Amino acid sequence: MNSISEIAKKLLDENRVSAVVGYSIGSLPNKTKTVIVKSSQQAEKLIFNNLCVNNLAIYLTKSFRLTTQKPVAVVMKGCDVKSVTGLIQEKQIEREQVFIIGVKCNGVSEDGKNLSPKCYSCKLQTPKMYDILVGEEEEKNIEFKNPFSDVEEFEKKSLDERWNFWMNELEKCVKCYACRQVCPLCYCEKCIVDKTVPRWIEPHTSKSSNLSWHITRAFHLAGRCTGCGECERACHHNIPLSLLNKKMAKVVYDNFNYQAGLDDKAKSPLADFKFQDKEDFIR
Amino acid sequence: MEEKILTSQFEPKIASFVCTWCTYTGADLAGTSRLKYEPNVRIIRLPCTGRIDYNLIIKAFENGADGILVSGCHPNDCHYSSGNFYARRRFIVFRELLQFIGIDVRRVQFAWVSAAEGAKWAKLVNKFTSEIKDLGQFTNYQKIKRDIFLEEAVI
Amino acid sequence: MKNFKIKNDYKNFVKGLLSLNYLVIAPKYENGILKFSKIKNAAEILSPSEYINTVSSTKEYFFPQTEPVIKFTFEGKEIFLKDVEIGKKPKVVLGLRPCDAASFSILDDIFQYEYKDEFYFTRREKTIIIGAACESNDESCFCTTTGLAPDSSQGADLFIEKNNEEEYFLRAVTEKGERLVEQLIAEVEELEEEPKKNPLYEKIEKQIRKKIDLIEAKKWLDNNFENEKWEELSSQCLSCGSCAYLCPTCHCFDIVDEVNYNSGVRRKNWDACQFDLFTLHSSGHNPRDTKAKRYRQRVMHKFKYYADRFDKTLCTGCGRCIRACPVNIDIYEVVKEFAPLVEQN
Repeated sequence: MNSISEIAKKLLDENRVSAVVGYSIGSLPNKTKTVIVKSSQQAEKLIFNNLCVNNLAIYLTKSFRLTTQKPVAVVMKGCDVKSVTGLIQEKQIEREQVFIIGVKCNGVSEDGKNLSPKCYSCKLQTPKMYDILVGEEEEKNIEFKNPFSDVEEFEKKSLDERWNFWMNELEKCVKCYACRQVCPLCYCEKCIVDKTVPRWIEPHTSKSSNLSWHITRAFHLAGRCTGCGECERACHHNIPLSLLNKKMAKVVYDNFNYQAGLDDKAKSPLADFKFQDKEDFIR
Repeated sequence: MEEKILTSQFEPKIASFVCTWCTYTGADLAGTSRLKYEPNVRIIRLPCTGRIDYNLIIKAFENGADGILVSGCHPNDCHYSSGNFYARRRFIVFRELLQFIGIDVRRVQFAWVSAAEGAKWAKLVNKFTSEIKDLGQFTNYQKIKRDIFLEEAVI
Repeated sequence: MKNFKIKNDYKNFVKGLLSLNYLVIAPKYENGILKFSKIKNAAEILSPSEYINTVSSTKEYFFPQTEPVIKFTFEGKEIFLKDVEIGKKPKVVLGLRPCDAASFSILDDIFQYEYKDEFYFTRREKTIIIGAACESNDESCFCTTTGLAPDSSQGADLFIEKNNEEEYFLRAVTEKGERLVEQLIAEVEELEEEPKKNPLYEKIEKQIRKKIDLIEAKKWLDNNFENEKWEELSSQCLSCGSCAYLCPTCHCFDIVDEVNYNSGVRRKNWDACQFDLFTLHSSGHNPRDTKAKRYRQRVMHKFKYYADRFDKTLCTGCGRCIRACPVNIDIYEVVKEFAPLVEQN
């Protein structure tokens, strides 16, 4: 079994890829650093361990002008591959433009101690799509959790409780847009909040403009979010952004029987319709 | 949280986003047919319900709307053949999002009103207006807009 | 300057402070995160040993994230201007770590450079800063590099420290601070002798990341505006504003008019150099159009431009940007790339 750094070295030496995006040892004990390796000398830095939380699919749209002649290699866990599927589905990248170094993942951790929340409902220890596979699957003794259990729990609250909860949470938002920047599916060249004419969402921070921003973010990702949890991880004010995303995923699953990131040929649910869609709320 | 103002003075502000081909023409018909209906609705005409961005709804709430009425062509009647189908899907999801955040979705009503249904439009507006009157002013949203100015004075 | 012993415990001292009709701002857990918030009663207070540092800095109380500069209304063709009022109540910001307290001497310079920022200084003058020495640190802290230490009182009006016997005492650093202590005489007692230094602070200083030679760093920056290293250093950056928004010294802002049909407000909003929109001209041209150029701006501004102007670095080593970065870009490691460590005996 070859290690990631050996594979990366080989790929770069044989000139098959233009760069390898991967993880290296971080500057803090419980973090790994993302690196973009362009020469085989640097490839030694590449590692994979249980601290590799980041979803590297983000670099495909943010850092490269991709070509089919010389793809970019990316180290990917099962959950990250879903984002690539989404990007292919939405015609942002082509399959041939990425070389996926799939890793068998046994769960990752954000702080070195606890398993990342997304891992509890993950069934993709082995990626669904890859060009080369690394790592070994361990016996997984994680108790599987229904991904929507916290959404269902939250829905039991009254209208006012929910409103007050979100007001308290969204009040903390400082609009650093880390949630947008780390999201592999937020690839718009110009985000709606950066547009000035017309100005849909005011750039200042207040409950009302923060609410508009978070409604926008959640709704734009409805049926597209693959649940990688990067937005929530990047938020230093711990706003439960995944809760909104999961709710959207649940609505889309319940109504249109669709799950994001599983089929690169499927049509995005909000860019599609059926004659028999429900309309019991329409007069 | 929501204070109810149930006095007869409360006249809700209702923003209505309608498609130009069906509902707008239908509303016009209500007018030419001399049908009398509640004056609380402000009609904003758009090309198609498929054009109705959720941001229009949020902006209307931000600017003090107590209720929002969205209306367009019946299924299969769309001038652009499928705009209303896309809109229907979008509203299924958007309604759920609003509800999840704690906004009463009874304040956002969707309807199909064709160009021939002037009477349906008048009835719809009357019914929706009385429902919003029962719900009272949408203080939750209006309060957070006001808060912007109050908080700043403290620091 | 005088030193004062806190007679009872720390909470009683805060109680005394609250009774003086000050708006007290101190670290407090709110909605799951530790941040500087308004304290209503002394029970909410955390003693200096109970936290390392807050998620966000105190700059929002002097230079708020969003601040109306002027309000205006239109009537016909006429425009009426209205000044914005700033809160009048005096404030005490309590429990700042040396890295946060030191940020004020940095911000004071920039907010009166060429033009005196009325909003900042009105708030600044009404506020008393009470610092607190660090009793623990984490892997991100690097204040020694910027010339600070776990017990340096720079920028504070009063400073809380532990003496050799593990008792808290107050060090009056400025006259403003001393005047406050005089009002609190029921809670404090003047010390005759200079208290003995607690060995804890020296221990922490040793645990903190090794000191980098910033003079050497500046020399490198002076000559390397164009260098391919910038591309490499910024390659994994995702262009969010976490680092700048949490930084106690970052002070870039953007001015925006928010206008309704008959009224409006001109606002000052925080801006961050890593955003795509940063310094974008209305013509569409952007002098800092790539990540590398924006990241260079960040490092240069902190360790070169500011040093050229004021002979200080625009960084206090609080480590917030390191903790918050989603891809682990570490400014300490970045500076270490081109500057040596200081030899320590």
